[in-house]
Amino acid sequence: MIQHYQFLAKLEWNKFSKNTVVILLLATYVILAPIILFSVKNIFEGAPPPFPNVESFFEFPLVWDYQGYAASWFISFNLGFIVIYIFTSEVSNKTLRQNIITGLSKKEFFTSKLLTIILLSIGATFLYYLSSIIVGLVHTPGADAELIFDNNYAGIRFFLACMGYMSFALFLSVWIKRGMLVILVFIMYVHIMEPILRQVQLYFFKSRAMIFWPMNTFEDLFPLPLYKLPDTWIEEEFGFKALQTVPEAIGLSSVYILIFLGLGWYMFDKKDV
Amino acid sequence: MNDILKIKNLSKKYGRIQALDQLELTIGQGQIWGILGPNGSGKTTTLGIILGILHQDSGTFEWFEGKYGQRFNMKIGAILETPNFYPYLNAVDNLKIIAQIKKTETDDIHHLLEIVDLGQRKNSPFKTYSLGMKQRLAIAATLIGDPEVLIFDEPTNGLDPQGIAEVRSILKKIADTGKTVIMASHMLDEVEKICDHVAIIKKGKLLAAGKIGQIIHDDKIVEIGTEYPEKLPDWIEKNGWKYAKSSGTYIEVQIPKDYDHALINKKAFEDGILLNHLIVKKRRLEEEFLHITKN
Repeated sequence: MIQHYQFLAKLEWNKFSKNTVVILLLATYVILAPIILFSVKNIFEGAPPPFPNVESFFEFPLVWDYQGYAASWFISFNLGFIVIYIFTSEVSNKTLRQNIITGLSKKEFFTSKLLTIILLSIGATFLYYLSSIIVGLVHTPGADAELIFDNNYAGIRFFLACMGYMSFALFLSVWIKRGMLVILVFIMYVHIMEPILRQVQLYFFKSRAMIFWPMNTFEDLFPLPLYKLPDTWIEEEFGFKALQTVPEAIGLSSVYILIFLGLGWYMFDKKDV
Repeated sequence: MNDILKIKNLSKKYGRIQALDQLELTIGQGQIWGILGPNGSGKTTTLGIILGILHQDSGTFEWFEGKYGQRFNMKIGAILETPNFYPYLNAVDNLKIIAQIKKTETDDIHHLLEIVDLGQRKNSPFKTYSLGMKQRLAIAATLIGDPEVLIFDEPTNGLDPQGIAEVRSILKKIADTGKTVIMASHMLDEVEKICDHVAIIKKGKLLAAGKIGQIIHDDKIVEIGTEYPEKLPDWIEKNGWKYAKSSGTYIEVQIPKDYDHALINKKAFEDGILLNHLIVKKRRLEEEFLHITKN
C-alpha cells in the first residue's frame, strides 16, 4: 500500500520536478511569501486605533493567526495554481490520455494528484509552523512553551486551508479542464463571486448562514486579526457573529474538502479522457 | 492460435452521430491488422474504447482472453492520434515516465532511442522535436516493456515523404518481430505494405475483415483491346473469366493469376482475336476499398 503511494508520488515528481511553471510557483511561495508577510509592518506602522499595534502580529499568540491569514493568500494563488497546472496541463498535453493508455488506471491518476495536494499541504504546514515559531520567538520577549503553543489548532487549521483551496482547484480542473479558464473561474469565484453571492444572500435573508459558504469557510480558518473588531460591530448590527468559530471552521472545511474531492473523482471517473 | 482481442457488438454515439455500430472483430496472436477507413469512420473511437479511455454505449471487448483483467494496458504499447509527451522533458525523461507506469526497467531506453534514430537528440526537450521525431519517439514509447501488442493510430499522419518512409520502415521491422500489431490508417498502400490482415470500417460499420489476400483476390486485372471489341464479351465468357469494367476503348478482365502476357495473347490468337492492347494491372487494395466502401 505505502509502496503504491510512493510509486504515485515519485511519478508526479518525475513529471513536474523539472517544470518551470511549478518550480516558479513553489519558489515564489517559499521566498516571496515571507517578504510580503513582513511588508505589512510598513503599511500599518503608526496606524491609529482601532488598528492593533502591528508589532503584536509578530508576537505570540497573534503570530499564528496573522501568518496563517497572510499565507492563505499564497495558498489560494500559488498552491491552487500548481494544482490547476498539474491537472489541466496533463489534459492539454494529452498526457493524461497517454498515461491511461500506457497502463495507469484513472483511480491511480486521480490519487497521484490527491497525493500531491496532501504532500504540498503537509510541506506548507511545516513551513508555516516553523516560520511562525521563529518569527514569534524573535518578536516575543520571554515566550514560554505555553504561550508559544497557544495557537488554537493552528497546524490543523493551516493544513485544512491548504487542502481546501487545492481540493476546490482540483474539482474545477476536472470539471472545466482548460487551464486558463480554470484559473479565471477559480480567482473569480474565490475573490469575487462568492463574496457577491453572500451579500445577495444577506440582502434577502439576514441570517448567519451567509458565513458558511465554502471559500468563506476556508478563509475563516484564519481570519485577519483585524476582523475580530468588526465582528463585534456586526454582531451588534445583525445579531450574529460574522466569523466562524474554530470548531465550526475546522468541521465545515473538512466537509467541503470531502465534497470537492468526491465530486471531482465522480466527474473524472464518468468522463472520457 | 490464441485470440488477443475479441470485440463484440461495440457501439458508441456522439450525440446523434453513430460513431460505432455493432462492431465485431477478433484478432489473433501475431497478426498484423490494418484498420482501414476514411477519416471520421470510427477508427480512433474503436481504438479509444479498446484502450479504455472512451466508454462504449454497448458491446464488449476482451483482451488476452481475460488473462490480465483490467490491467491489459500494461501489455499493450499504444499511441492514439498524436504523440503525447511532456513537452518540457527530454526524450529520456519522457520514456522513463512510460517505463515507470509500465513498471518495467529503464535499461533499454537508450537502445530504443537508437532504433528510432533519436540517439543524437535524446537530451533535447520534446517540444523542440519535429513532427517526424515526435512520431518516432512515440514508436519507441510503445516498445517499452516489450509489450505483446502494439497499436498505432495513423502513424505517418502529417509527415513528409522522408518521414513517412522512415516510420514505415520502423513499423515493418516491428511487424517482422512476430508481435501482434493493430494499425489504424486511411492510407491504403501503408496497410498493404505493412499488414497481413485488414478490417474496413465506414461510418462505424465493419464492411469487411480478413486476410488481405482474401479481401484483395489473387486474380489479375488485364486491360485488353482489339479492333473488334464486340467480340470480346463472348470470348471472355467462353474462357470463364470475369468482365471487370470497360475503360473507354479497352476492357478490363479478371483473369487467374497464372496467366501471363504470352498465354493470354496465344489464347486470343487461337480464338481468332488479334489483341492490339494488353496490359496486366495489379489489383490494388485501393480499388477493393473503393468498391467495398461505395455501397
